[in-house]
Amino acid sequence: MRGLLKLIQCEMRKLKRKHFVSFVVFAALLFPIPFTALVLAGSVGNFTGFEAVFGLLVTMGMPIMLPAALGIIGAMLFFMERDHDTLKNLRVLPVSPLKIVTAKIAVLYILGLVFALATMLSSMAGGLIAGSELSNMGENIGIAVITALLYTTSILPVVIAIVGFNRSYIFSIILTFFYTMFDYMLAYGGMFATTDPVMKLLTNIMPAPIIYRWQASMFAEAGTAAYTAMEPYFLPLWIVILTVAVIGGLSYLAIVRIYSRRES
Amino acid sequence: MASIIKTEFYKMKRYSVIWIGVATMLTVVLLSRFMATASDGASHTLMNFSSNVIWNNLVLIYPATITLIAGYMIDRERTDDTLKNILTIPVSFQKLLVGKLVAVGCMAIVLSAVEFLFTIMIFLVSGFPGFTAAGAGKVLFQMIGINLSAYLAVMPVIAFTAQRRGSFMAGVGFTFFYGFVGMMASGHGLRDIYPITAGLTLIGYDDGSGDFAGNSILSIGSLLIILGVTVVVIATAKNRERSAENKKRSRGKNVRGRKVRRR
Repeated sequence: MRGLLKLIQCEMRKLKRKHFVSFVVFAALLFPIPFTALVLAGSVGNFTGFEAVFGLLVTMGMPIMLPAALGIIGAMLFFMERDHDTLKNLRVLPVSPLKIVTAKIAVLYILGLVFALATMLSSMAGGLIAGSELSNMGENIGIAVITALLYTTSILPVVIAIVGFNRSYIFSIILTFFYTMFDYMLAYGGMFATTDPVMKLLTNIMPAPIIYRWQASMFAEAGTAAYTAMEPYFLPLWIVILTVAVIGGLSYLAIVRIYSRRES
Repeated sequence: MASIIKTEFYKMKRYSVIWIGVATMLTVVLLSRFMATASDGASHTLMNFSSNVIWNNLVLIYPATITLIAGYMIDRERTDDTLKNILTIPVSFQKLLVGKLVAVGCMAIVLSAVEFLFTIMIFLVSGFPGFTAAGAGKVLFQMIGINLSAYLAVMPVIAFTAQRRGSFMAGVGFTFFYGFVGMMASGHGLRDIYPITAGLTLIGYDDGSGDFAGNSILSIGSLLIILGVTVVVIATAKNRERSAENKKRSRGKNVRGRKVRRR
């Protein structure tokens, strides 16, 4: 455990050179600007001020920017040793591939939490600009953290492809963008409501549609048309966590297996 | 300038990133076809299928992809260490940048034609009704038009991030967001003002709602402002990358890494 913490510390030191943290914060601060403008224009249904900015950021901003940013960072993290030819040094120390992979994935989760913090702070700033009081802070922090952890886990299948193909950054970025967009369209295009069996299956195993269905149960206000339309599709948190954890667990094992075969 | 652009075309032949552009176009068309399976009972004519392709391409992936291709092409001069040779010929960084941007603009047209071919192929294979030669011609015009206007919208970002090594990655991240916000801007009556979606009115895009005529003057104005910003960015552009020697000197060290005594 102590060794793993040291490895995570090493990965964090490497981050300083690549400006990962500032990249994540930059990504987290992009959406608050248009969303605050939307709230000021009064275009967000029944919600106002902080609750509206926060709701938009967690349900629409985070599903786009967090997986996209973490996919790019994942590629950088896993290609770092290849680019600098340092994997052989790590392997002869010896540090096991399991520990290296675990440390790198732990860094992704830490950055996911940094993203959640930046989202929280920016929605507070947006809410104050919109002239509202900051309410339900404890609950909202919980939602932001859970959403960030779920979306961080959702990017692990892409990391399998990034590590497995071991191609260029360009390939990895395009792959990440496509995955993010496809996942997002399944959720926000309402594809889970169709009768098509393939689409039904996909929307029950892809992360964004199931996270969205849990978020809808949190943010849709009872009695509204949106609530009535979404109610049959609401999912409890434990099902969402269980499904995403299975995806994450299988992805983690696959990444370890692929990474273990790599020699340099 | 003509010879600089011609040289860029020669270089393009070696870049595998072009194939990423082609793969992106294919994936967008396949994604639109996949989405069509979910629209229970709806009929898909050439015009509404191609409209879905144009929309998905515009707000989901095209701005980031073209920024990625342009950024990669410019950054290759640094990673291959050829920028110093070009600058000492001398070809100014601004001229090189204009040459690259024109070459990528031509590639945007080629990618639009590729997108059109994939759209027609998938449309015919799917057995959707309503194919006409005139309709296909209109779709080709729309795809070229919107991809060029979206390219124009991201050009300032490309020109700005091209000035430092590796900065284009941040530019790609930003244009991904920039393109996506087009979805919201369009939904809130800002379609003609928002640069990414401004071209939709000019190509006569039909979003299916039937109640949005658009304002061509606003669209042209928005794109002209972006063109003006691009000209300013290019006019002030230079290779802002510091050499290893300069970095050491600015930290108070000489070329050999020894401390320099300041007088």
